[in-house]
Parts: sequence; structure tokens; C-alpha cells
Amino acid sequence: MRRFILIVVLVLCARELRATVLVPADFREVVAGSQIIVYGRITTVRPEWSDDRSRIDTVVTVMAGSYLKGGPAGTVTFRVPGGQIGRYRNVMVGAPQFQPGEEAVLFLSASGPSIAHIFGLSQGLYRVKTDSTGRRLVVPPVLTANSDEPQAVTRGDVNRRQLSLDEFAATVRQAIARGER
Amino acid sequence: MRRASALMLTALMVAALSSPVSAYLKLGTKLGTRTVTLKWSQLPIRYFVTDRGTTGVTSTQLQQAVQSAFSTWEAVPTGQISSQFVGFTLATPSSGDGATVIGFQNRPDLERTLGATSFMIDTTTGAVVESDIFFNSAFPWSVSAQGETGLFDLQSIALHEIGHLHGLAHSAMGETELRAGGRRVIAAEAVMFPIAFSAGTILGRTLRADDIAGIGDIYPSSTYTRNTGSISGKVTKSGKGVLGAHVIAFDMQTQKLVGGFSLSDDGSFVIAGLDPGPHVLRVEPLDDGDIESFFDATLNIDIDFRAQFYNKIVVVPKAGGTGGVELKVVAK
Amino acid sequence: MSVRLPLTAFCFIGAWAAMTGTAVAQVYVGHDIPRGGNVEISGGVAWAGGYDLGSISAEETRNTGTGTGPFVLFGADSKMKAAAGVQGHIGVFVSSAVSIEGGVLAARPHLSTELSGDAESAPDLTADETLTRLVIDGSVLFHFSAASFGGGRGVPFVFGGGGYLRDAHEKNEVIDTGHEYHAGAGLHYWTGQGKHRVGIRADGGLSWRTGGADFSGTTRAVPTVTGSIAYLF
Repeated sequence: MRRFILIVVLVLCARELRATVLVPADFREVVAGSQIIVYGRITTVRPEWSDDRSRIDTVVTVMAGSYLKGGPAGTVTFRVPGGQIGRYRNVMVGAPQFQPGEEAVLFLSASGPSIAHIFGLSQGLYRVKTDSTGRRLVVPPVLTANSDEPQAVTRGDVNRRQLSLDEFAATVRQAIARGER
Repeated sequence: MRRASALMLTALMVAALSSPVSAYLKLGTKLGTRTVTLKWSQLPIRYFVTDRGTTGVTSTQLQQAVQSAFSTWEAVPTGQISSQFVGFTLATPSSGDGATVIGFQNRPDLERTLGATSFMIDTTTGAVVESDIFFNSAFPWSVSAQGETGLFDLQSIALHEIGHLHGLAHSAMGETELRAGGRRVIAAEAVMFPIAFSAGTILGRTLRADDIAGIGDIYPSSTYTRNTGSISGKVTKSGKGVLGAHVIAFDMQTQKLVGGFSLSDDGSFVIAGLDPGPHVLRVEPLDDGDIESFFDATLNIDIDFRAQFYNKIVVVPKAGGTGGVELKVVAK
Repeated sequence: MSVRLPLTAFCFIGAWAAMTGTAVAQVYVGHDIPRGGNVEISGGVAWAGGYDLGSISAEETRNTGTGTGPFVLFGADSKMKAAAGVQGHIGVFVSSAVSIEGGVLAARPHLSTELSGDAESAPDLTADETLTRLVIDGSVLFHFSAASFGGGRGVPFVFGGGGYLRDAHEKNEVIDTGHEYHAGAGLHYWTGQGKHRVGIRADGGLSWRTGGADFSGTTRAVPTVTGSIAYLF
């Protein structure tokens, strides 16, 4: 492979790679489409080459705080595209990245014996951040339809706020209950 | 083995960049403590196409759709880019061969992802040793000139992904709704909006003003520099800067919409690539879903404010910029 | 012949002289001034009417199946408001009936856009800016001395001409130029005696303007009114 020397640029308007084309799901579908819904803390982040050594994926282990769906184990593991091994970093634009110590609510899909993955690349990822008062808030806000009629998603909607972790968990349980009816 | 294509990053002195000189959200990656933008400085972009089709689309049709998408970007008069189809390959995208490969891949683990662009970066040199695009063959595809009901238009998605290949990030210029089956685009005024138009439509084959401003921002032609201008300012809330606000400039003469983002903690933004003349400005939060479609998860994006107009008409000069705008927003 | 005849003749001549003298006093300006070569300088205030700049919408391409027609993000309704300014003219009479003049007008009209109907409920708001407008023009005036009144003091006139329009936006970073044509009617009312006259001048008309700070290439008919102090010599 030919390599070219980078002369490094610091550009204030460049941001970490984030981009792909999605067919987003409604929150109820994310809930219904996930076999495991878990709140926990990231403990390990381990990159590994794919079987054919064509790309790097990252295997993430979560210490479970609580399960909202499935998963009896104390830890759960899932895989995301991208990662860094040695000097090589593979980035799939749009795939989330994790660091140990982060907290999140994860909606995971698994088929057969393969390692689980996040529903919809990043649609099943709700990060948990602590505000200045110590309250745990879930990011991003939940988008869920209140009826079967199409509902416009309005930016700046005063009724849409970040939920606390407890409020978010209640929303998930409601969605599960509706799906089971 | 085919010659590898490579993405070379541009050379600029760090000291010269004391403030954002351009505006469109661009792709970058962290190397140590620095964020590096991605831009091809060696053109044409040489790419291969996987010699494998999918249901309803042959590899030849795939290559034609990809070529049409590249040509659409290259036709932008304020941009200066070029590409070259090298040939078909048996390699799949992200095959680790050092070549830029575009093709179909079956990725059922990436449900809801129509396509994606990836980069392999040598973090010691900063060189991008490989850049690939895959279209998820788990979805149904079409190359019909009129579109086909229930099938996603390959050329539209290729146009979006090739925008990423060039270094463009997402645009927030679109509106969505929740409905049975998921979230759907109501309207979009940028090909680089992260959510696709519905299956069956070919609306995504046409670049909009926002896309054109973006590609000109990264790869400016002399026309871009001579004939366009910019608006700069800050988004503030209670006197403090707002990070991650989406600012839209509406051209009163041409009725084009071009967007930008406040990209620093003091709320600074720049919207470039604008036609000269009077504009009105509007700001809104990215509180309608996946913030990580636009920004790194480590950033503290502020989404607690209402959409708001700016109370002055802002006039963009030719080959220059107008500044000093302060968009004051209020919490929800 | 008695001495009465010469007295009668004297009285008659005297009366005639008196009458002709009175007639000269009554024809104040019209018969002997202005004439070719006279110069008029005037200056005062001007007012131009406002006009509608039209309504447009910020639109996004609508996805199929979500409705018909483009999606309207918000509407914008723009107006150029009426504005007062200052103006001045300098003219030369080429004959007692015709003069040509050049003029300049400076004003600060107000351009406003009402933003409303936002799809995401951004509050309605008016965005605006103040322009610095300059019009430099030339005109031909036709003075109707035969229709003068007030002992010849009041002299109506008609005028027509064209000029250059220059609008500077706030901060003077962007200049929009255009042109205008105008026509109208007015009135001089002179006072004083002798070769130098001072008077007041008022006129009104229409100015057809193309270009300048505008969102389209439309030619707009703008009513104008001016009032000036004039000096003739």
C-alpha cells in the first residue's frame, strides 16, 4: 500500500466521523426489536480483527446495573463496527464509540450464538450523563409516537426533554407492555 | 494487486487557524489531542466497484449508478473534485486491500442502515490507507430512472455516501415524522440529511444548495472564492455560548437554504458558500433524535432551547463575509 | 384752444402711464424672468412611498407520501417602508419655459421582513435593516407661465427624467444599484423683486424604480413628494 504523509491540520470545524444513511425506527420498534435492554457501565473495550482480517470491530463489555428486557447475567457483551489495533484505526462513519466508565442504556439484538449488536447501528444507544446536580439524564430524548397517526417531530418542542434514568426506564417498560398486548 | 488509492490530508499551519474559516460540518478524526479533517488532496479519487450485484441490480448497473453520483458532485461549479473508475474487483468494501472499493454487502447486523462509508487510518502518519462504501444488500434496491415502489434508489444513496467519501458530514436540513414502521422524512433540503427519502423515490439524486455550499467549502474552485460569501456569529443563551445549534440561512433572492452549526463552546458559527445578498437567519436545536449523527458523543451539545429567528436582515457580500451576528435563544 | 386740452392729454397720458406701470408690476416674473441663462438652486425635503416586496416561503423538498407541494418551513413577507429624506436640485433655464436640472436625493428607507408560520413554532418576528439610499437624477421641466397666478408668482410646471439608484446596506459592505425614471408636476411660488428671486417649490410624481435593494427584478412605481426653498438668479 502506498502511504502519504499527513501534515496535521487542526480545523475547528472538523468533528469525529459520524455519518451513514439510516432508516430510523420508532422507539417502540427499537424496544420490540431488541432482545436485551440493559442499563450499565462500560467496563472493557476490546478491538479485534474480523475473521477475514478485513476490518476492525470492537467488542464492548457492560457491567449490568439493571435489565429492562432479557439478560440474566451480570455482564453483557456486544460488538460495534470500528476500532483501533496498533497504529490502524478503522472507522465506520455512524458507528458509536465507547470508553470504559461510560454509562448507557443499550438496546441489543442478537441472533443465534453471535455476539449481540446495538439495534440500528446507534439507534439503540442512549447514553446516560450526569448533570450538575448529580441527576442521571438519558441522551438523546425519546421519540415515540403517541398514536398510530403520523406525528411531526418538531425541533425545539417544549414538551420534549431529556428524561431522567428512572423516567426513561418507565418509558421502556410502557413500550414493552404495549408491545405485549 | 491494484494500486491503492490514498487520501492525503492537507497541509496547513496550525498557527494560522485561529478561528473557523469554513463552516460546513466536515468529517474528521482525533489523532491524539487533535482533530484532523478528511479531504482528498490528490485527485482524481480512484475507486473500484465490487463485481457483485444484488437482487434487481447488476454490478454494471451498480457501477453506472456510482459513476452518476460521482459526476453529480463533480458538476458543482463552485467545487473542484474529480474521480476515476479504475475497474471491477472481487474485493468487498472494507477488505483491507488499501483500495477504495464501493459495493454491496449483506450486513443484517446493521439493520436500518442502508449504506455506510468507512475509513482505515494509519494513526502514526495520519494517512487514510483505505476508504470504502457499502450498500446493504439486506435492503431492496433499484436503479430505475423513475424509481420503483418499495425499492431504495441506489443512485440517491450513492450520492449521499460519496458526499461522505469526499469529507462531508451530515446536514440537519430536514424534517421528520413518527409513524407506524418508524421515523420518516417529511421533507429534506439536503442530500446529506442522514435519513433517506422513502423507498421508491429518486428525489435524492439532486444536490441542494446546502450540499453545494458544503462541497465548495471543502474543495473550493476559484468561482467559489470569487462569487460567494459567508455569515458568522454566535448562538447564545443567557449570555453563554450554545454548542451544536443548527443555524439556517435563507436567501431572500434565490430562496435557497444553507445550514451551519455552532461548533465551539462560545457558540461561534460560520455559514459559507452563500450567494451575495440579503438573508434571514433561523436557529434550532438538534433535539429530534440521534445527535451522534452529527457530533461526537463526548461533546456537551445543548438541545434545551426553542427555534428562533434573528431580528436583522443579514446581507452577504461577494467574496467576503459579514459577521457580528448574535442569535439569542431561550430555554424551553 | 384752451389750457384744458393739454391738461386732459396730460391726464390721459398720465393715466395710461399709470396703468402700464401697474401692469408691469403685476407681471411679476412671468414675462421677463426667468429666461434662458437663469439658474435655479433648490433644496429641501423629500418623501417616497413604501412598497411591497412580495411574499416568499422557505421550502424543503417533500418526501413522497407525506403530502402535496413543497414543505414550508416558514414564510417571509417583505416591505420597503415609506421614507423621508433630503434632496437638492440645480437647474438652468434654456428658455423662459424650459429648464434642465440635476438632482440628488438621500434617504434612509427601512427594509423589513415579517417571518411567520414556522413549522417548528419559532415565534413570529420581523427582521429588518436600514438602507442608505442615494438617487442622482436629471430632469427636464416645462414651466407654464401662461397659467401663472398670484400676480405671476405661482408658476406650475411638469417634469420628467431619469437617474441612478444606489442602496447601501447596513455596514456599507454591500451596494445594490439600479435606475429610475420619473415624471410629475409641481409649482413654484416666487417672492422678492429684481433679478434674484427666492421662492418655494413643491412637486409630486411617480418614480419607476428597478434594482436597488430588491428581491426581484420588478420595476416598482413609487409616489414621491418634495418641498424645497428655491433661489433663482
